[in-house]
Amino acid sequence: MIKIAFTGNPNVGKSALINAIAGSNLKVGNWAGVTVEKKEAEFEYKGEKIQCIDLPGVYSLSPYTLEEMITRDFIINEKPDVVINIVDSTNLERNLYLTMLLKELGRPMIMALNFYDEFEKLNYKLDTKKFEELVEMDVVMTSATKKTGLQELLDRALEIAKNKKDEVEYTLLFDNCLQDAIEVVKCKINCDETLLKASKKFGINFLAIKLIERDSHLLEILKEEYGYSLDQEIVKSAEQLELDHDEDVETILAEGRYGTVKGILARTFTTSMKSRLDFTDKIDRILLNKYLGLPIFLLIIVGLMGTVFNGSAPLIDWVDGFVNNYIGKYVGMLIDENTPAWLASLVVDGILGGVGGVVVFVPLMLYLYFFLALLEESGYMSRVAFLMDRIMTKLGLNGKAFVPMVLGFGCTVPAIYATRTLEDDSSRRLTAAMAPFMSCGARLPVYGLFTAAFFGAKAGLVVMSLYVLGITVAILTGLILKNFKMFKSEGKALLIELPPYRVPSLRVIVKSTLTRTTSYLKKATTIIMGMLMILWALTYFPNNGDTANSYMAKFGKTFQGVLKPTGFADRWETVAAIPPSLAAKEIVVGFMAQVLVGDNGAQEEEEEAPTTFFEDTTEQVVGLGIAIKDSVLAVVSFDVKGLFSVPEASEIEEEGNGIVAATKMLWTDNLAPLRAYSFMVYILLVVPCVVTLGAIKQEFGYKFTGFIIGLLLVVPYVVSTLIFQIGRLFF
Amino acid sequence: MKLTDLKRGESARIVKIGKIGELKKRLVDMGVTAGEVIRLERNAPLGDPQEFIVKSTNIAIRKQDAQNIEVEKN
Repeated sequence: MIKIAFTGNPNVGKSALINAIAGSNLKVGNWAGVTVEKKEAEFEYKGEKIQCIDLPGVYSLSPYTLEEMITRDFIINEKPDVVINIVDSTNLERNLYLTMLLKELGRPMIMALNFYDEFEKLNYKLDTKKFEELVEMDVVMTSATKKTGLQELLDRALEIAKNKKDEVEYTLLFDNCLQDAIEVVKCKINCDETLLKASKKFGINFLAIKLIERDSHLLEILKEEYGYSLDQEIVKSAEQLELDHDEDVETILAEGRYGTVKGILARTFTTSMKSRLDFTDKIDRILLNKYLGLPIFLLIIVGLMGTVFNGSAPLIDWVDGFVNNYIGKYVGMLIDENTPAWLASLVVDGILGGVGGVVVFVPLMLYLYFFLALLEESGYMSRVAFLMDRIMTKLGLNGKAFVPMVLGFGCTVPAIYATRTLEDDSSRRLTAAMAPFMSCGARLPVYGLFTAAFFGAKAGLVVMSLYVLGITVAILTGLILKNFKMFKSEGKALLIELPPYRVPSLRVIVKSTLTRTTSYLKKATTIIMGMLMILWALTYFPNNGDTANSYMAKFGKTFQGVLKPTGFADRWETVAAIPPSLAAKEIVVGFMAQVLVGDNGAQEEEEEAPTTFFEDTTEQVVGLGIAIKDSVLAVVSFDVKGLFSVPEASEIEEEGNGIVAATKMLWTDNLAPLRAYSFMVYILLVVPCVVTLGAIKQEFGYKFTGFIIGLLLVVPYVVSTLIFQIGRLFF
Repeated sequence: MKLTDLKRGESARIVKIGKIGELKKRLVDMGVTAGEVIRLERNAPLGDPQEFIVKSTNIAIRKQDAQNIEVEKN
């Protein structure tokens, strides 16, 4: 098998290129132990098995950031047969710096000069022959959008890989005094047995440079694995260098590399007067404008939410109906009188319900990933950080954390996945801990029911206050959490590159959308299904479907005492509704219907006229057509108000007969509205649905998920109690 | 003078990057080294961070960090 590693700066079109080469074989995962995306593909080409690994985009190979460590360690430890070094041909000087660093690692390499179509448009010229000679590797012009050079790149990479060179010793072209210092260390390495052994692994150039740099990461490894500690002679020569240059060695070396790059370009490259930044500058004058910048950004965010949540809503309804009414009906037919009632219920309510719970999110994910990819590929995403940084620093976060928070208003699940756009783990965690407090769409039916029952005309105001409360609690929680070590991201100064705007290729966006959605589906199923099954069992047993006497009801009665201070716990029904709300917050409404009104609502559905398989299928296909049409209409209409509108009382009534009236009877004392409000606050702030938990587990692991669950049990308890206890003083 | 003393659209040559920890290494890796010409492109709408152009790359850093970068006008 041939192992090809793809590496390059961020924003050099690496993903587009690897997508174009590996196509549908691309699998997305995580690097072991971290949430940095790992894209891999295996396929056969010309009778050879090829494995492509897309390394994270980096500017350098220092041990400071996770991405750089992954890239550097992968090339050193896994020794890929060939490294494809992707370079943005419109920004050669900066991009070639990484090339110089990669050369130090001494692996067989090939360079892809990407965006070559743009390069030509700018009238830049490069003497390729001479350039190849100077950078000491093959160079192929590529363009992922135009699909040029891809085949040649792969062919040449294969050729190099088949030559099976273990190490390539490239020439380093530093100035004399630097070169001398490196040569001295190289001599030392050749004389020292342990260092010689280490140089087999790291390559002699890399080892020599890292020794002069006194790179802490590498020195640790040398000490642990080889029992080597730094030579005094090396330390002295490094200190002399620093004294001569009045700079630290790392900077001297970096400047040396840039010098080399300048030298190479001076002999091979001619630029034109045209600048690739003209177009970008024109757009940024509007999008980053002092006065227009923020309003436009808010419009884009509102548009994004409107499109993602409103646009996917008709499709979500269709998928829901497809699973429950269509698949559910035919699965139901397989169950005959001999099937035990619990098994029938497990299959229909437990398993099918669970599958439904996961797949209804697919349209949402498709829309979300599509528009996030659009923002990323076009270059706007990094501008978000630029615009919002000032505000978000107050929370110890940087500007990028704004997007996941806003998405949380629609649905917490994509908000959790969107934390991936943040670069450090502590910010990711802090954002993920705050996002669940944003009031998501699924809470609206619950608000609808309880405001209809207890607040009447003031419903809108009450719901608005819940939104504000959610935001306030999120900010307060953030302010407190940011002082803890796990969330502290101080010292992480902001440095963002604002890449030039590019018209993104639709194919690339669609591909990345599909890859990410399928990886959601694959991984989301296990944990979520398991938890939904448990919740099903707790509401079904021990009395086979009698909810009012289920374990869940017992749970409610048991925990009434603990929750007493919150004010809503004098009725066990509300307490018992909390665990099922984990399946999905809107289930509270259904649960209330079951325990307060009884099961008569469900019976009516059975009396529909029998339909044939053909009729059912046609109905589903027609329904899909309508859903697609509605979805498009919803995207075009930009109806943002719809996102925040609470369902009407009449709509809720359809869920079960007389549920609003029954809910009204929950409390009749003069504190009733306060109790209802306290309950809504609790549902707003309590542990989010299992799909969100699944996402958190997937991104941050079990330990952090446990922490979030704990946090989201304490916070709602405290807030609800405060609201009730303080509120009652005024009633 | 300090990098933060630049006005919009003005350029200057970098003299020295002071002690700003890890950020210095990251800046140097992106080509922000002594001798390079740097231009203040714009401030963010809320005043901070600032966008600069070095080596035909647009980067943004916060004012508190830009303060530690010494520049001189030609």
